[in-house]
Amino acid sequence: MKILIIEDEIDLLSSLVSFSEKENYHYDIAKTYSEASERISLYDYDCILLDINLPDGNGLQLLETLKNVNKTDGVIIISARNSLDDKIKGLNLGADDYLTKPFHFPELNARIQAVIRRKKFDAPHTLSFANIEVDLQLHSVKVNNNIVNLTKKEFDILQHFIANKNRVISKTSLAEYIWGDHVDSVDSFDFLFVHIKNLKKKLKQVQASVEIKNIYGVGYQLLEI
Amino acid sequence: MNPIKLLTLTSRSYMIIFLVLTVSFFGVFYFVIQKEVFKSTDEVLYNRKMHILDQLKKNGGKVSPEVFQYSDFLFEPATTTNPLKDRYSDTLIYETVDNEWDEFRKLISNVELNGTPYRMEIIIARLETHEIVESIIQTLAVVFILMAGAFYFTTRYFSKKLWKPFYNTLQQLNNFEVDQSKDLELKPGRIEEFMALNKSIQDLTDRTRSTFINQKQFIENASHEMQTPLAITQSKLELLIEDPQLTEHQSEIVQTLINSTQRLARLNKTLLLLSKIENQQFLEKESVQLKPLVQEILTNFEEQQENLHINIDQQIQESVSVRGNRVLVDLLLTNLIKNAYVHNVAHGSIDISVSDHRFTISNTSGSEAIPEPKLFQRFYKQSTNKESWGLGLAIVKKICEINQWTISYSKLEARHTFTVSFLEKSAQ
Repeated sequence: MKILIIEDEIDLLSSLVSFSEKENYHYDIAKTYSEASERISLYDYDCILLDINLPDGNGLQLLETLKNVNKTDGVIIISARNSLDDKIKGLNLGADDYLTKPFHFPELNARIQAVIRRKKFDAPHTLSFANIEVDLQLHSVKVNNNIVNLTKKEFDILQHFIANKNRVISKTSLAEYIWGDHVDSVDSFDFLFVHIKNLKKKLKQVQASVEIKNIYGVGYQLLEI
Repeated sequence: MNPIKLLTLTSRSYMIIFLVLTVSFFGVFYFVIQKEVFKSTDEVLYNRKMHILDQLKKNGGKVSPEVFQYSDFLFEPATTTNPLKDRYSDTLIYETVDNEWDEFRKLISNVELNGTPYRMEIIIARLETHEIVESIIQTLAVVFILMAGAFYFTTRYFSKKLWKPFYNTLQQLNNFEVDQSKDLELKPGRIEEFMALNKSIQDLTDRTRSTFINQKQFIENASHEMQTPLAITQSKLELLIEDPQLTEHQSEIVQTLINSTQRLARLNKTLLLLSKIENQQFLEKESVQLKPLVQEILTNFEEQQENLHINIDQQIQESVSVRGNRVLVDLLLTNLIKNAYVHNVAHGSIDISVSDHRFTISNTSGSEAIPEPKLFQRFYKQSTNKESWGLGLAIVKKICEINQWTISYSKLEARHTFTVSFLEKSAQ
């Protein structure tokens, strides 16, 4: 899996690089429009992370370049401008997703995986981890071929965990993934705790060989046992 | 003091001046006319006297009464020898025909005929004073009424015409909103004062608007500029929590930092959202079904509902829809529903009703009624909740404003109620 990171902010770029290393993605970086343009024409990527505000050009033009050379690289726009215009323009030009700064890594990760899955012809609609199998289309979860009945939120949490397996997901990131922007984080941590407790219990009942580990109150981590 | 229309005030002043003038005219007229009448009557009397004397002198004092045609005079030997001076005076003579005193003018004159002094009195009927007064009053009254009427209608007509640019300007000013891009359309006209007024207004509104736009731009730019550093901080912190060497104590610090960063990021997002709504960046309108939307939002608050044991009563009519931008309608209802939860009490209740053109939500609350002017103000918060900025209702208000919907608030028996009427204000 190869990704191209186009970002002119060095500090953010370095974070993205660390993130990619942890996910074991192969990555290239481009700090300017011209660098990005060159890389795009030379190589194929599974996913391109595109900051559209570049010092020497508008990232949206890279999308046109891609279109012109008939490349089907997946593109996720990462923009500081949460502008609907840019979003619509970007998506019309063939971008697959649009993420606004600041973003959470688990969110980015889930989106990268979704983009890559969509790009594959025979992509499975399932995610699996240990003996857990999640069907994204049917919204069902099986452990050792036994259906586990999860609420919608429990399902979302599990799906997010599997997309970010072995990584620590911060509570804020998880809460935002589930409730969006509109819920107070103080309350939502408690609610999150309840959901995760229920999820743990249900997974344990069907003997899923996973552990949802609480990391010092900062976040949670899904591990295989 | 009650305000009064300029037109009414000027008309009233003019009317008073008119009346005073008319009364003075009456006085002047009266004296002038009376004087003229007397003068001509006296002249007639004098002429008569000369005529009679002429006749007497011609005929040596013996004249048959026919010669004088009328017996309007008295001629008698004078008892005293007064100076030969004519005396004109008014006199009343009782008239038996119509039983009233008629006014006469009388000339008393001492004349000399053939060396003998005689006293001579001539009378002549005179235009009566009250008749003079009456005719003057009648004439003036007619003139006054005609003039007043003419004045009233002409001033009304001209005033309307003259003040039209003023009222146009006034209306434009009333409709002026600093946050809307619609410019004032002040008609140029050719009246110097109004032109000056319009120019001042134009300058003032231009200045106000540019200040407002600059400020808005500033907030927007500042918020945008904050996004990248926030993204860097957040990303570094998220990488940090994965560090296996992190101690529990350090984790706690990181957690605090993540929370603060998150709060800052969300505040920033909310401010950007507000300016986006203000900038009318949510243009796409569609018909949004309210029932599924409300129920979807409510699922986001399931945890709060269970936690606080809140009873939800929904009176939602099927297939009620409203025309608007989906994102904004969602945001509007989410903020109102969230509000109902945040300010609620344990074992409280929330009533939601949706009928044609109307969304009403009411909730129990421990807090006092919110003072109306502050209600939709930015950063006004009543709760002590640190996570609240007091922007939710400001957003609600803004969304209503740009869609021309009305929102109203009331507090009755410990229940706070918000009602959104989806009828456009202009259509009401």
